This record gives sequence, C-alpha cells and structure tokens, in this order.
Amino acid sequence: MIEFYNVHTSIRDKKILNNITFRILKGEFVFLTGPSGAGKSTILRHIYMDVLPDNGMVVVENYNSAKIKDKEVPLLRRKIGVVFQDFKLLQDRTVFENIAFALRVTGVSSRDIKRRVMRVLAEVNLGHKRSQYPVTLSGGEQQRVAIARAIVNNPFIVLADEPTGNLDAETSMEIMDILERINRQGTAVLMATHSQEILQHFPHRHIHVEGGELSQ
Amino acid sequence: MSFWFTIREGFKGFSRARLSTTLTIISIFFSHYMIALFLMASYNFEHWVDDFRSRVELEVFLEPGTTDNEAQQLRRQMMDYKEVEKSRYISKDEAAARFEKEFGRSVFDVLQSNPLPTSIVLNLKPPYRRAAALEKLTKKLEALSFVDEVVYPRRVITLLDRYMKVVYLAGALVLLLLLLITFVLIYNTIRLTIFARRDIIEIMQLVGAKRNFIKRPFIIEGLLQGVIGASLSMAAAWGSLHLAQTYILSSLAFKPLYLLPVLLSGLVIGYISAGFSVAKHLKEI
Ligand SMILES: Nc1ncnc2c1ncn2[C@@H]1O[C@H](COP(=O)(O)OP(=O)(O)OP(=O)(O)O)[C@@H](O)[C@H]1O
Ligand SMILES: [Mg+2]
Repeated sequence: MIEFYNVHTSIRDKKILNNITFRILKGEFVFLTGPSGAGKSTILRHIYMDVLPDNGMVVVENYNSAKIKDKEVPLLRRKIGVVFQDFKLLQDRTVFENIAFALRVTGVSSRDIKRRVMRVLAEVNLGHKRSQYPVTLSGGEQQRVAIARAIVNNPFIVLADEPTGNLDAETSMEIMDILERINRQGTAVLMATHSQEILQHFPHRHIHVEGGELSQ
Repeated sequence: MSFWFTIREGFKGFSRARLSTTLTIISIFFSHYMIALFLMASYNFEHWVDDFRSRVELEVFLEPGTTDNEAQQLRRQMMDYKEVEKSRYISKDEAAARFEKEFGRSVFDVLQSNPLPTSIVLNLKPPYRRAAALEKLTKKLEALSFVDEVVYPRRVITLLDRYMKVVYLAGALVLLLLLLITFVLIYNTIRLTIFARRDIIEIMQLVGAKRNFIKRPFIIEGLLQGVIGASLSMAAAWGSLHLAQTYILSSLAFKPLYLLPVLLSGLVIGYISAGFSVAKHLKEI
C-alpha cells in the first residue's frame, strides 16, 4: 500500500534521497529514524506527493508518483493524515473549527462535520476544550488537536513527523498512546523520530535513513 | 456550505491585510470615480455635439438664371440622395426676405434689382453630419448642372471632428492608465493576503483541498474590493452630478444606466487582477 522503488530525488540540484526502496503494509506501525538532515521529512513528503522523485517511483494505494496528475494530489491527501512537530494549527479559530477545517475544505456537509469532529475530539479526549483557541492549550493538547484533524477524514495512514519533538517525556507518552490506539483500530502509522526512549518503549519496525540512503 | 466558507474566508482576507486593502479600495474608488465622471461628461458632451450637428445645414447656391422649375427638379433629384434628410428651396423673394431679416434692411434700399442667388438648403441624416461625408457630398453636388457653389460651416465641423477624436483618445488613455494602476494595486494586495495566509493555505493543501477551492477566497476578495470601490464611486459620481445640476448647469443629463460599466469595470478588474495574482503567488508558497 506504500511502496518506494529505487527512489532518487534532488531538491535544487542537491541530492537528497539516493536509491530508497521499502514498503509499508496495511495497518503497520513503522518508525523512521536517522540523524538530522538524513531525509526523513523528505521521505514523508514523497508519500503525500509534495515532492516527486526524479527517478524510481512511489506508489501510495492506487496512486503512482510517475502517473499522478496535479488534480489527483488533493484526492490522495484526503486519505492521508499528517502531523508535525510544530502542530500547524490555525490560531484564529477554535479547536472545533481547526478540525472541521479539514472537512469544510473537502466539501463535507455541516451536519456530518459536527458529528465527525465530535467523534475525533472524543478519541483524543478534548471534547471539553472544543471552543478554546489553540493558544490556551498546552503543547500536548495542541498536538492532540492536530492528530484529531489528521484522522477526521478516516485516513489509511497517519504520517507523523517528529510529533513529540516539542514535548516533554510524559506528554510524549500520551501522544504515543493515542497513536498506538489509532493504529490498533487499523490505521497505519509512519512516524519519524529521534527519541531513543520512544524507540525502546515501542517495539515496532524501524526504517533507518542516513545521508539519504537506507540502512536496515 | 462550501459557498459560505469561501465568502467567509474571502472577508477574512480583508482583516489580514487591512491597510493595503483599505488603500486598494480607496484607489479603486478614485479611479472608478474618474471613469464615472468621464462617462457622464462624455454622455453630455455627445448630446451637445449631436445637437449642434443636427443644426448644420448645407446651402447649395444655384447659377443665376436657373428657373424655379429647374430648381425644384434639382431639389427632387437631391432628395433621392442617401445623405439627405430634408430640403427646402429658397427662391429670389425668400432670399430677399431672409436678407432683410438678417441685416435689418431690404436689398432694394441699395439696389434696383434683387442680386441674391436662389439656393437649396439641405439637412442631412445623422451619420453624414461629419466633415468627411460633407466634403464628399459637396463634391458630388458641385458637379451637377445649375449648381454654382456649396456652402456649410466647414471649419467648425472639421475642428469639431478632430477635437472629438483627441478628447476621446486622451480620455481612453487616462482611463487605461487608471485601470492599470488599479490592476497593480489589487494584484499586490492579493499577494500580501496570500503571504499573510500562508499557514491556512499550507493546511488546505495538506488536508486535500482542491486548487480551485484554495484560489476562490482570494478571487472573491479581489471581486469584493473591485465592487466596493466601484459602488462607492458610483454613489459619489451620482452625488457630484446632482450638485453640478443644482449649482452649475441644470441642463446636465444623467442616465443611471451609464454607471453600469463602472460597476462592471470594478468587477472585472477585481476578478482579473486577483486571478493573475493568485495564479502567480500560490505556487510560490
Ligand atoms: N526545500 C529544500 N531546499 C533545499 N534543501 C532541502 C529542502 N528540503 C530539504 N532539504 C535538504 O534535504 C536534506 C534532508 O532534509 P529532511 O528535512 O528530509 O531531513 P530530516 O531527516 O527530516 O531532518 P530533521 O531530523 O532535522 O528533521 C537536508 O540536507 C536538507 O537540508
Ligand atoms: Mg525533518
């Protein structure tokens, strides 16, 4: 369901990825590790086709990087949830509206929006804070809002780019618990991380990247 | 629902780049106020010029010795010309009467016999009341037998035609320049709002909003700026005309319909400038 075949990618003439090949199966939980600048974020960007390979190809569900049209990229992204280290919440709207945003821009009706947002808010235990603005939340709570936004479209995979990078150890574990729970419900998770503690604590498969190359 | 979302986000763009939005609306207002004034002025000017042209007459003087019968026959021949709307024959007696009316004394006070030539006065149909057409018709008439000379206010008509052209050309150039400035201002304001809203655009792209959906609020914003500016200018132009009617020239005419192009211009310039700006700048974030 996600497959990289001999992916080579340069950004502005600089080689970033070199011959990357791997696959992630349906419902799997996989860590993406490697030093800073190794190419972890770039690999994730290939999956939501924000970057396309120069050589080789990336296959995500029934979309192929070699054939995908600009118009199809949004449709692919509706099936993928993405979470970042810096949350990327909109400061000018409430928790509820931040999550509803992902549905509004994809044309979901208001009635369905309410129902679906309430459901994911319950999943991240933030129903009671739905009317608050992001600034009034702790880092962990903000990341939970971001996760709720990522899963509100029922994605088949959640891509998490160092989701605990800005959080303390205890809060990180809360976030991991939520990701684990999402994974147990059948959603695949691909998570880039530096944290040895997390890697030791959660025995999932690793993909290790260094200098743009895989070293299994 | 996605309609209201788009409208709401379009308005939010306003508050994100408030100063530049305000300046843009003011400049759209100003440029469209000029356009509106120009349209109303040209409407009145055109009216006045048409009125003047309708009073232009061509007088065809006949050779001495032309009989009334021959003259009437000639007049019927001229009535068949496509240019001619009305004609009237001026006999020797009528010419004398006209002389007396114009100069206050009879020709017979000075002379024994009436030396005034007979003539045929022609009124022309509207499309032929112009210098070039008049010139052509004159040539044709002067070639006829019994015709001595054709007289009309040649200088005035020629000057009128020439200056009308200059006035319209200058007006069109000024308007074009104003529209160009408006374009640049809207283009730039939209650029600013796009950059001010990088975050929201990034998230829209991330969660799978379609390209046109992302563009729409910005286009709406440009449209709104154009329409608000143009509407204000229409109101101001309307007010100005009323003041002018009251205090300067009560004969000034005004057709509200004439302000429609102003609104249309605001709409179109808003749409086009925003469209160009979005197409260019959405890629750069
Ligand atoms: N837009 C870009 N322009 C130029 N270079 C880029 C760009 N994006 C990434 N790079 C380069 O590609 C390489 C890999 O970057 P990437 O962000 O994928 O690393 P990473 O493994 O996620 O690092 P980190 O752990 O610090 O997040 C780095 O050397 C980076 O400088
Ligand atoms: Mg990274």
